[in-house]
Order: sequence, then structure tokens, then C-alpha cells
Amino acid sequence: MAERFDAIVVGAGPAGSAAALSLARRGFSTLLVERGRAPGTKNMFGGRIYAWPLFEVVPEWAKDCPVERSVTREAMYFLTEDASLGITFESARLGQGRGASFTAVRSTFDAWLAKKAEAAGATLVTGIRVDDLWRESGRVCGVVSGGDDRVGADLVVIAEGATSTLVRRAGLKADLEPREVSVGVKETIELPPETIQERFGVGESEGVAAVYAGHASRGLRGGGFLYTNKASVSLGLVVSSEDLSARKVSIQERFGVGESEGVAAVYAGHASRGLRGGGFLYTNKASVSLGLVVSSEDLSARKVSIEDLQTTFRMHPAIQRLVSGGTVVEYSAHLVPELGATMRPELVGDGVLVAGDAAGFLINNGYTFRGVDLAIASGAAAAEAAEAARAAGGMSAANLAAYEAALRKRNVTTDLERFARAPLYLKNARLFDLYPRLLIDVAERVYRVDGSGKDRLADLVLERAKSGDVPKLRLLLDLLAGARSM
Amino acid sequence: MSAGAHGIEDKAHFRGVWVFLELRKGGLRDVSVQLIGEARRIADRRGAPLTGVLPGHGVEGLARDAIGYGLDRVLVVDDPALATYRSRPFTKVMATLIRRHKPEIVFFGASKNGRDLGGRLHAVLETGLAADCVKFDLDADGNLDMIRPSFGGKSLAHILCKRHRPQMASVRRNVFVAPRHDPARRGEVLREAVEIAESDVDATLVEFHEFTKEGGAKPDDAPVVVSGGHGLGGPEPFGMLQELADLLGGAVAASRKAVDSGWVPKVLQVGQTGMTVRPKLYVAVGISGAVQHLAGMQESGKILVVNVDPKAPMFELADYGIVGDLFAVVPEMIRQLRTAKGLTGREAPLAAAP
Amino acid sequence: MCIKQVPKAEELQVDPKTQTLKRVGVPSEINPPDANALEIALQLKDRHGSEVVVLSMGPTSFDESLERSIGMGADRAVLLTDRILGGSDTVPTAYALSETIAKIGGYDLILCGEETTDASTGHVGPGIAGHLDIPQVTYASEVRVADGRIRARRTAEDGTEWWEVRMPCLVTVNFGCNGPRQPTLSGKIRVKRGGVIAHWSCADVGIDPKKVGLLNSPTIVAKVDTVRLPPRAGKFFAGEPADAVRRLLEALRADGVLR
Repeated sequence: MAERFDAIVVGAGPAGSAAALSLARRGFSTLLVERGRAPGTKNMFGGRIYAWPLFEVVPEWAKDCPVERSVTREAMYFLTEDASLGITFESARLGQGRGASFTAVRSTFDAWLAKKAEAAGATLVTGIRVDDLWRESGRVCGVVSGGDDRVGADLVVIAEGATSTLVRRAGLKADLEPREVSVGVKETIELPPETIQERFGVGESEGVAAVYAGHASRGLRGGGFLYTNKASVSLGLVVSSEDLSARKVSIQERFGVGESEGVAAVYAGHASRGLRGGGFLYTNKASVSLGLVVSSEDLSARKVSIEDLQTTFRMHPAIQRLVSGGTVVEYSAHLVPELGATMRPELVGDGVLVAGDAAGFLINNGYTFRGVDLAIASGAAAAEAAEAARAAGGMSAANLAAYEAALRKRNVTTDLERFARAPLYLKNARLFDLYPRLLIDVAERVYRVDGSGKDRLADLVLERAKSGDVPKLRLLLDLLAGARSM
Repeated sequence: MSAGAHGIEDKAHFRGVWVFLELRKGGLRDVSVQLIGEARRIADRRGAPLTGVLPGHGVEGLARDAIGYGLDRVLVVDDPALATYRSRPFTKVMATLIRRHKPEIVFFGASKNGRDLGGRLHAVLETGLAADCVKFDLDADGNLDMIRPSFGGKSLAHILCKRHRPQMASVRRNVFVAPRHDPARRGEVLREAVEIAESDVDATLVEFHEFTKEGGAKPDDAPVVVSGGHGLGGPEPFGMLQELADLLGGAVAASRKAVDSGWVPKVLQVGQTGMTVRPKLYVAVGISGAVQHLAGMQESGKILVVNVDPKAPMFELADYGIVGDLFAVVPEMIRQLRTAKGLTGREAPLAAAP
Repeated sequence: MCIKQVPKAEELQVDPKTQTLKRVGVPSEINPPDANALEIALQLKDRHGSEVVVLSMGPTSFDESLERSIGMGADRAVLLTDRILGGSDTVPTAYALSETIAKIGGYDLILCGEETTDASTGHVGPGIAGHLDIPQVTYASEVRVADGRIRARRTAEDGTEWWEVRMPCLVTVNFGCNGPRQPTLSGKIRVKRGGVIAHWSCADVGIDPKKVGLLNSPTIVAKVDTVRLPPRAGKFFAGEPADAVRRLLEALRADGVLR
């Protein structure tokens, strides 16, 4: 007699655990299956989580959620090789109430959320990879693993992440297109909490989230990031991988990291300088997450390796000032689905729903990255849809259409649609090389007073643009397009 | 459960050193003979007689001959049921004789049958059995000091069985060297009666396929051993080692890592939990030199080590060493050895699997 | 069938203070030969529908291996766990396991790995057979049931032997003779549902405390000392492979090692 559940959730990341938790709470017997040894071991992100969906899914989350630092300062920087121009925003209102966000470590956060799902009554099984959906006459009725081991369910929620194979097998999406994903890499750099607090000018449980454009990714499409954790800094890059190479490269081989820490398979090509991209920085309790997001189309075209990029980024004076003396204790990489609303698969089928990164629920609008919150919200939406379908008589695609409404209600779809054009806009190469250079050039001319006569700001900008071969019109159009898409 | 030859009785009642003699194709198994030499040494130090125990069928002549290796006497138990080794009847024989004669020490060769027997017997007698010993001594109180490599460390553990008798120990093949045979040596051959019931013969040998000597000597017999380890990276390069072994007149063996990785069968494993070998020349290729491996070959005549890592512990045991890529060095050795033998034809040796 | 949880082979570490194997905080696994034995048990279950009970003796951390066994398909597990068993050598271990097996009862075949990767004595399997007074076949690679009897293919030094024995009997299994299967999703779900692993103490089984534990073990490790190997000549041959090998072979011939 095969095992059976009302619902099976595949993947115990934020989307899966949130779905399993919400389903269990609504009286569904729920199985949560994770392929890693423990939830979170195969997950990686820049470093910051927006907390708003947690209020729905785990109302008492603040009590025991493994928060690294509460983000109380946001920053954006433009970089050239040796200069940086930055904007920081500080406000007491950041980090309060429903707008709160915090830096986190995925292995602890995901494990925490999965434990909540178990506490709510879900059965968590780890170390098993689901190979396929079990289908009878077109509808999904369970999952298949280990060759021929079947477990039945009325509903399967696919929450497998960006590299989900089940979504394709469910016929809900075509194969992943290279231009739809970026490659993200991240180093976790250990620093004493006091040093972090001092260098970033924050209090004991406060932290910083920063993004970097321009030389962070040496002009590749993408960006750098830096997040402060409790006792480390997460520093990384996300790079567009438009030119995915066919070769799947194991992170262990490629980057020489150990097995258990936040590792995933990555499709990476070779790349060159001047790649489009951007960086990010998040402060955790005792670490800083510093990273880059870079276009891998550019990576392949110009033969620069992602490790080189990351190293260049880390060695930039603006970054060194913040992380020098720290020890890199973790190196991880992951695929980042990039095209937002325009690449979404079908989310609903007979007996099946898709949530989280597997559904492409990620927003990169250039000044902030959102993924985990959308994942959690989509998990909650999935459970709501399941309940509605149960009331309507069964898990048919028609009944599960309630999912769309539930997503919209939580502004998941609305935000995705709104920022749909951001990824495309961010593929404009000028953003990552020319414009940062231009800005910094201008800043230098403005701030450098050496007695050789000063121009007005506007003249400076136009003169610089002309000598950089950017027609006035082009500059205006870019500014306009940027404002509208972001 | 039967009352064992326990520590409950006075230890002083137990005297004498015994060696279990295992049969093999009409003769004695190597390891049994090798043990007699060492057992003789211990018996002399204890001032006690050395007795061989030979269960079998039609083995009196063999028993007499065995005296020549240094035994004072041999206890023979003759029964058709004992012609082939079986656990229960052999255990019954040994247990009966031990209870009857109360030896202080019993040695077993750690062959498959020896371990099969020792394991069952020691539980029935409720006494201590130390496995895979490499050395023996006597402590201040006259207890047998049973010495074996301590797992994982560069150390030797001293095992004592202080209160229970007999003290039992097993030893693997080639740890000791066989003593010389003196045909003129005198000793007693005593027939012992042990009742073996039909119900004791509880196993039927339905089929037996003898191993034929195929493709070269076995590692624990060969004068030269070419052994491969983790550095080979897979099963295919072992073909190259076989070729080298053939040219040197030897056999191929492997380290535990190569066996655990599934590249070669366990029978080729040299080391503490594999074979002990003492060839004239041991060639270690791509073997780092973990202590467990050294325990299986450190008594080799000469040791040649080829490894890309100059810091490999194996080099500490090297008489000859080449720090280099084995995939360049070994084919070169093959090439030069072939040339020296006047073997013409191919320039590059085969690296394919045998 | 009997299993033991052992430190993972590549991860073996010796505690420098006690000179014993570090077990705490080191990744563990099912003793590999026991996994091979379990695979045989599961194949027999696939073929004949038998019940597979996994037994182990040790601390509660051994549950990890018992859970894995059930994930692979075993029906249930018993862990004999009791502080007084600590430090037992193979005599009390064989005794304690035998008593536990007798208490479980109804066994036709007992399977064990040929030896453990940490202690490597190979004594416990035959010891159990001795205590229970049943036939034993050691170093088997294959086990079949034919005409209500067990047939086991034994690998001895001189050849392969097929033995036939009546049930109940005990068979020890060669390391590497098969490919142990992976746990399945259904198996792991069964583990999560609970009630499949029982913890028994010595009192539950009726084991005499005076026959187990460190002080009641016939053998003890009296001391441990460092190995001193004879110094070796250490002639090294550097340079290009062709040149180094040429000089090496010259030296081997000069020293009479090669003809």
C-alpha cells in the first residue's frame, strides 16, 4: 500500500516550508520533501529577508527567528576602479513593523522555518530527491522518487527552486533559457561583531544592506552586494548568465568548498571585463554578505571568471575599508532567475501548483533584491488556494485558479509585473560601465578643488557625456526608461 | 550456556601453550606453521610445553611431521566429520580439549577458518581473544602481552587477558616467518577422543570451486608487489600496474582507499585489515602511507615509493623514492624494463584495464 | 540482522589523550559490511516476503543508522542501549546480542557483516552463533533459500564454497559483495511515522549486569605505545621521469633487488 498525503510539497526552502506550514495548519496531511541533508544546505542568497510575509505565516516569528541583524541603513554605490559614489538612506522607520527586514544565514533560517512546518504537523523528510510527478490521465496524483517509489497526494506544490526540473516535467514551463538566469556568488567574511558595528556605524543588532553598480562587476551586467551579519559580512555578485555553457560545473570542483555549506550546481560560462552587473552588501550579526550579480552572457563573451570578478570587487578600496582583516569562511554560488514576470511558467495545473524561485518569483530592480519574502508569500498563497479548491470539490486546475488571486492579494504578482521591465532595463550595458564612470567623473570634478576653475554641475555632466560618446538624447532616454521601470 | 574455562577457577591450573593447526590440501596452512615458531619462543619463556592441536581425518603422519617445527607434542582428534572444516564440530573439539587440558595460551592463525573458529569458540568459553596480533611478549605477572596496531594511530595497543583462561590470540599470515623444520626432532603424538554427534555436522558442503592460479602470483606469495593507492584515481590505471608487476615477476595489490572506492576487489588489499605481505620489493604507487597500510607491508625487504606529494608519509619508509607524477613515472619504468628485456614493439605501454 | 554504527572511514580521528577512536562529533555511517549484510536481508525480503528486524547495541546516537536501515526497507529495529554495556569487548557483546535476539525470537536467519571497520575483529557474528548454538557460515557473498534451507556462497582462501545449513542459522557477509540500496521516500516516511525503533535496556532483556561492561570484559587495552619502524635508506631520484627512472633501475640492479 503506497503512502498517501493530502498534499506533498517538494523543496523545504522558504516557499516550500511556508506552504507546508500553512497547509498543515489548514488541516491538510502534508509531506515536505527536501533533497538536501537538511533544509537550507542547498540554498543560497544575498543576505536579506523582508519580514512582512512572516507576520501571516509565523505571527510570533520575532521571538525565535534566527535574525542576524535588523537592516537600519540602505546604501547604493557606483564604482569605478578606485573611486565610489554613494547614496545612503538611514531612518528609524527602517526595520520597524511590517516594513522590517533583516539579514540572515540560509541554513539556520530555512531550518527554522521547516521546523515550524513540522511543529504545525507536516512530515519532513530530507535527503530524498523527487524525480518526477506521478500522473494518471493527465492529472498529478503524487510524486515518484528513487526509480519507482510512489507516494500519492491530491496536490503537489512544486517549490524546488530556480533549477526546478519538476516544473518542466509538469509541462508548465519550457527549459530554462540562458538569458533568464544570472549567476550569483558570495563570500561570507568573518569579522568580530564590534568591528562590524564600528566600521558600518551601527548598533549591536543593527545592520546595513548595500548594492554596488559599475566596477563591482567590472562592467558586466549585474551587481555587487554587501550585507552585514552578526559576525561576518556577505559579499557577492549576481551576474546574468545569458550564455550558459552546457557544462554543469560542480561548486566543489570549481571553487574548492566543502560539501555541506550552501552549495548548488551552477551553470557558468567564461567571461570578460566590463561585464554588466552589480554588487550587494548585507551585514549579518557577525558577518557581512558581499556579492555580485553579473550577466553571464557577458561573462562568456569576454572570458573572465566569476572568482576573478569577486576578488576584484572585494579588493576595491571602498570595500576593503569595510572588510579588511576578515576571514572568508564560506564561498557559495547559485542560479538567480532574472526575468521576473516575463519568464514565469504556468503556475497551476490539475493537482499541482508552483511556488517560490521555481515560479520565477524574484525581483531585481537595481536597488534592491527580493526573493525570500515573495517565496514565503507564495507558499501561503498556495495553501489558501488549496483550501479554496478543497471547498470547491477537488484539486483541479480550475479550482486551483484561486492561487492567482491569492498571489495578487499579497502583491506578489503586482510587484512582479510592476518591475517586469527592470531586468530588461538592467541589461543596458551603459548602466554598468559608462554611466558609473560618468557619475564619478562628475563627482570628482565637483569635489576636487585645485584652483583650476570650476564649471557648473549641468555643464560638467553634458561635457562629460559628450566626451564619453553618449548623445544627449540617449542619456535622456536612458534616464527616463530607468525611472519608469524602477 | 555452558560453563566456560573461566577466571573463576584458579589461573594456576592453566599451563601450556597451544597452537591450532589448520589443514590445507593435505598439509598445514602456512600461518599455522609460522605460528609454531613464535609460540615456541613464548612457551620457552613460560617454561611450558608447546602443543599443536590437529583435528582432522587420517592426519597422524602430518602430526608427526609437524613436531619438526618445534612442537613438543601434538593432540590429534581423528574423525571423518573433521576432514573438512566446519564451525560447530571444530568448536566442540577445541572447547572439549581446552576444558580437559587447561592450556594457558592458545594461538590461532587468522585465516578465514581460524577467525570463524576463534570467534565462536571464545564466546563459548567466555574468554578473551585478541585478533590480528603482530607481536607477543609477557608482562611482569606472566600474562601474555598481545600486541596489535591501534586503529588510526601511529601506535601499538597492548592487550591483556588478565583473569580469564586460556588467553587466546590470532595472527595473520606472514606476520611471522616459518621456523626451520627439523625432521629429527622428537615429540609425542596423542590421540584424543572427542564425541562428535551427527547433529554436530550441521553444515553440508554442496559445491567447492577451487581458485586456479590465474594471471600471476597472489600478493602474499609474490617476491615483488606493485601496490596502487588513491593516487591512481580509478580502476583503469591498475592495468598499468599489472604490466609493471608482470615485468618485475610480481603481483598487484592495493591500499584500502582503492578498495573502498571500488576500483579493485578486497582480496588485493594490503594493510591492517587486509593482507600482510613481506616481499623482497614492495612498490607503492600513489599511496599516501596511512599507518593501517604500513602495518601490512612495513616488513618488506626493500620499498620503492612513487608519489606526487613529497610530504607523503609513505616516503618515510622508502628505500628508493621518486617524487613525481605516477602517470609519467610508471609508463617510463615499463618502457625501460621492456627495452632491457629486449621486448620491442610498442613505445607506450597499455594503460587499459586487464 | 545486526549492525553497528561506526565513524566514517575517511574521517577517522584518534583522540590524542585517550588513544582511542574519536566517536563524538565525527560523522558516522552503518559499518559498511553490515550494509552489505542488510542488502542481502532486503533482497531476501523482496524475494520471500520475510520480516527484517535490525538490531544494534550502543548509545542512542546509533538510532541514526537504525533509521537509515528502515529507510532502506527494514521492517523494524531494536537498539540495546544501556550504560552498563560501555566498554564491552567481544565476549559480552556477543552474549548481550544473543540474549536480545533470543528475546526478539522467531528468527530463521541472522545476518552480520564480516567485521567492523573500527575494531575489525570479526568475532561477534560467530560468537552469537556459538551462544545460540546454531550453525554458522562466515565470509559469504550470496545467500539463497532452497528447500527450506539456507545456501550461502563462502569465499575462502582456496576457493568458493557453497554451504547448505538448516534454519535457524547465522551468516556473516563479505564487505563489498553487493551495492546496498539507498533509503526511499516511503521508507523515510515510515521512520517519521514512528513506532518502528524500540530501545531496550539490559533489564528489559534480562541480561546479567555481571557479564557485561568494561570490568567484565576478558580483554583490556593495557597500554598504547608508538611504533618505531626500522630506518630506511631513502635514496631519491629527481629530475625528468626518463632520467630518474634510469638511475632508479641502475640502483635497484646494483643493490641486487632487480636482476
